[in-house]
Amino acid sequence: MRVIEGERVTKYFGGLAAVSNVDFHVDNGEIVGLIGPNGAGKTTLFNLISAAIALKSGVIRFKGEKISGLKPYQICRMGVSRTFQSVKVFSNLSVLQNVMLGSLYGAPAGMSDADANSEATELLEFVGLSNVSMIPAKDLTLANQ
Amino acid sequence: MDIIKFTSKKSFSIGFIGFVLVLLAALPLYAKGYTPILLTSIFMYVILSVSWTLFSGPTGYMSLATAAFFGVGIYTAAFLGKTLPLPVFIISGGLISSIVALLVGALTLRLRGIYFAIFTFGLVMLISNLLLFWELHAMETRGRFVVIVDYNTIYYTMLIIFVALMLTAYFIRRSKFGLALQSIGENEEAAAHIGINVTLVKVVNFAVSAFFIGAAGATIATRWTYVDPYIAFNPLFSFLPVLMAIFGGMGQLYGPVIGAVIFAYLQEILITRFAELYMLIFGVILVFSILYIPNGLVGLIQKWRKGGQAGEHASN
Ligand SMILES: Nc1ncnc2c1ncn2[C@@H]1O[C@H](COP(=O)(O)OP(=O)(O)OP(=O)(O)O)[C@@H](O)[C@H]1O
Ligand SMILES: [Mg+2]
Repeated sequence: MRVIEGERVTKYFGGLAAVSNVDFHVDNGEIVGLIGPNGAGKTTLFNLISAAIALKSGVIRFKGEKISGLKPYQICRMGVSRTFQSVKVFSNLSVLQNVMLGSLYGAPAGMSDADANSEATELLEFVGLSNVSMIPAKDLTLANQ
Repeated sequence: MDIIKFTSKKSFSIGFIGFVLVLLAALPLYAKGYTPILLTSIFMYVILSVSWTLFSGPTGYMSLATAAFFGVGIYTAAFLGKTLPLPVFIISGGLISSIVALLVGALTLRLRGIYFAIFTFGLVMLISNLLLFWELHAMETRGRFVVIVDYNTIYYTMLIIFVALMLTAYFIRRSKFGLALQSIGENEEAAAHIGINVTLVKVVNFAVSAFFIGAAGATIATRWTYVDPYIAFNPLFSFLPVLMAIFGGMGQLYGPVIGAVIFAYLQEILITRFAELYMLIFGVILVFSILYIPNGLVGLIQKWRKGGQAGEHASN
């Protein structure tokens, strides 16, 4: 099954075609890497998938449903998550709050505060950050961020 | 041990707040004349400052629309005050301000930084001049008289708005809505990508903040008795709440409260003793507080409590 696919995805910055007529798909269970020289348009493609920027033409589908044209929060709630090339944490929120936000808002149904708290605590335990869960995220080492 | 300390501290705070509230509620019984009038004006500034911080504090969007919402509240009282009962026109003032905030927010909250600040300030000018045009050309008037209300009623109305605002601000800060607001201020793009409907959160918060500003405007209008667009939409009401919040410190809920109380009281003293100098003295205090206490009085208090052990953060 195709989990994510794009057809003739195109994005121009002024006259520069950063992403031009790209077709791609990722099937269920696959792990796919995207490589290319600096400025090839990799980050732009990810920005188009997550709707950080709007595409000029083409269509992107997730599990068969069209997601191009939706807002980032809607795409996220459907189950598409992303990270950024430069780390983006909520610097002045605690590590726990950073993770909790995902539990609170990332799922379509939403979660009670208590459930989000315990899920976030478990996840931090899993990645070995429980001991720093209360400090502001900006005080973590870059790798831990 | 820690938990016991925590709960006793908490019940102490609640007790203290309750005590102050009883004192304030009973004030007209033991203090007549000037005191309720002075406190009404202090409450008004506290409401403006806390409402401004409610929105601009966590989101980092610098709103200069306070005078616009305030003025809309004032004009609502001028229009409706003579025909409708007090609670109705006060709430109407708040609601109409909220509606303006919803419309303006939906249009402008995509603007960031300085552009948002300038646009919101433009809103003050826009509404003010539209009303002036309407007064002059459609009504052939310059301003209008507002229904007169006795000063104890005004005092209690302001007190109620103040308490409602503090409760709202307290619960927002503790809620997941409040956490979303903070995440938007930290990094809006990341917030959108973990599933937060950033536009909705911002616009709703903007409208909530505008409600209290408008209600305060509708209340104080009854004390001013006569208003025109210049009085109602005085740009100072966009700037003072910001200054008060910065002076008090925005990190805690009580920051803008302290800032506004001190500022409003100072203003009252300075304006009666040094009428010509008061803006100058104001300015000097401000410059010094921004230079030397960037986190406001709250920052000072916290630093002093921690005994200066707060770590310094250099950006990396
Ligand atoms: N917001 C933008 N405005 C204008 N041009 C942009 C913008 N973002 C990217 N570009 C341009 O689009 C092209 C593709 O950039 P992109 O960041 O997608 O490359 P990349 O493959 O991620 O590169 P790297 O390996 O350096 O991360 C580049 O020429 C870049 O300068
Ligand atoms: Mg890149």
